[in-house]
Amino acid sequence: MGGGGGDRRWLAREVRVYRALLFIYPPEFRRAFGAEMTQAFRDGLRDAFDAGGVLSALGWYLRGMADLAGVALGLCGSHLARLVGLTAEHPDTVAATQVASQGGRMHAKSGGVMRLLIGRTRMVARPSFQQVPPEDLARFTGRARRSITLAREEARGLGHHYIGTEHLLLGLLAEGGGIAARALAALGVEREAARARVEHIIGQRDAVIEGEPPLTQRASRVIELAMIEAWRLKHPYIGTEHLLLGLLAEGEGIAAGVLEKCGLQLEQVRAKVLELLPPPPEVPPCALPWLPI
Amino acid sequence: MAGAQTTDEMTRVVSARQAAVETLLPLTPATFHILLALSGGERHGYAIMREVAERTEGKTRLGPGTLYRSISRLLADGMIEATEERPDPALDDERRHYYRLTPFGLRVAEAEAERLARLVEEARARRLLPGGARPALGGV
Repeated sequence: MGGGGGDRRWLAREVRVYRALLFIYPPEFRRAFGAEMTQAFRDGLRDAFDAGGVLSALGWYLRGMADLAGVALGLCGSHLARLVGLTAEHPDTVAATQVASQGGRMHAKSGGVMRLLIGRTRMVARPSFQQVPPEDLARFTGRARRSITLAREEARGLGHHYIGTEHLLLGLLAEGGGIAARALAALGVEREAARARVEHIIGQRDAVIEGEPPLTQRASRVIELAMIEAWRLKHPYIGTEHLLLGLLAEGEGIAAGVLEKCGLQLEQVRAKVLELLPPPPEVPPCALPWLPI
Repeated sequence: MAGAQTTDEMTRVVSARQAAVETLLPLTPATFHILLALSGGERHGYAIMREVAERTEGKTRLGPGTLYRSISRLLADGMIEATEERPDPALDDERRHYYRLTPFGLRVAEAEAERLARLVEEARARRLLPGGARPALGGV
C-alpha cells in the first residue's frame, strides 16, 4: 500500500480514541468484548484504508463510531445515566441523564453528555495530549496547528509555564484567519482586549520560559473535545472552528470566563461558529446502513 | 471472557431452551447473519464482519458494536460458544477468540431458515417473486 508511517500512525490514533470511547459501555460488557471490538475496528480500518485509501477508512471510521454510540445507547441507557450521575453536582447532569434514560440521540444535548463522557474517559484512559506530538497533529489544519503554536507563544509571552485554555483562545485570535477568529471578530472579541483580560485574571510573570510549556489538563481536554466536535460534524480535519467549539464545550476554563467577561454567552459563540461553517461536503461513499440490533 | 461458560452451565442453558427454539424466533437480521457465517465453521469476530459484508456485497455491514452486542446475546442463549484464543494465520499473530455454533444454535438457525423459507413461499404464491403459482389478478 502507498501510505507511509504517518498514515499508519493516525490509524493507530483513531483506534486509541475508539478504545477510550468504549468507556461508555457497561463494565462487564467492556471487559468481555472491549479488546475484541477494538481489534475488529482496527482490522476494518486497516483493510478499508488498504482497499480504498483515506476516504474509505474515513467511511469505516464514521460508521464504526456511529455504531459504537448507537449500540451503547441501546445497550445501556441506564449505565449512561449511572455514569453521568457520578458527577451529580454538574449542572449538565440532569439534562444528560434525561437524554441517556430516554435513549435519545447523542446530539440532542451532546455538549453535556460528551463533556462528561470525555471527562470520565480521561480519568480511565491514558493522560494523552499533555503535549501534542507532531504525528497527532496530522489531522489538524495548518491554521489549527498554527493557533496552537501561537498559544504556546502567548504563554511564553505572558511568562506562564503552561498552555491553558486562555492561551488557546489567544492563539486562535492571534492566528486571525480561521473560522474561529472570524466568529470571535464578528462578536466583537478583540485580541488585545482578550489578552488584557487574561493578564487581569492571571497576571503576567517575568519568568523566562525555557523549552515547551505543556498543555494543562483542561487544555488537553479541549483538544480532545475539538476532535469529538469534528467527528460529530463529520469533518475529516480539525480546524480552528473545532478548537473553539472544544473550548466552549469544555466551558469552565479561563477562556470561557474571558468570553463571558466580554459579555458573551457560550451558546451564542457556538451558534456563530456553526453559522460560519462551510456547507457540509458530499456524503462519503459509504452511506450503507448498519444493521439494527 | 463471557464465552467461557462452563460445560455445566451450557448444558443447563441448552436443555432449558431445547423445547423452546420457537420462542427465539424471529432472529434479528444481525443475529441470523452471524449464525449463517458460523455455519461455515469457526470464525473470529472480524472474520464474521468480513464474511457478512462479502456475502451481501457490502449491502449489509455489521459494526463492531452491533456484532459483539449480538455475540454476547448468542453466548448467553447458548447458541454459540467461544474457543480458546489463537492467532489467525492469515491476518497476524495476535490471539483471537473464535466462535462456533452449538448444536442448539444450529437448530435455531435451521428453524429460522425454515421460517424465512415459508415466508418466501408465501411471497412466491402471491407472485411477489417469480416461479410461483399464478393467482388470478382481481377482475382480469
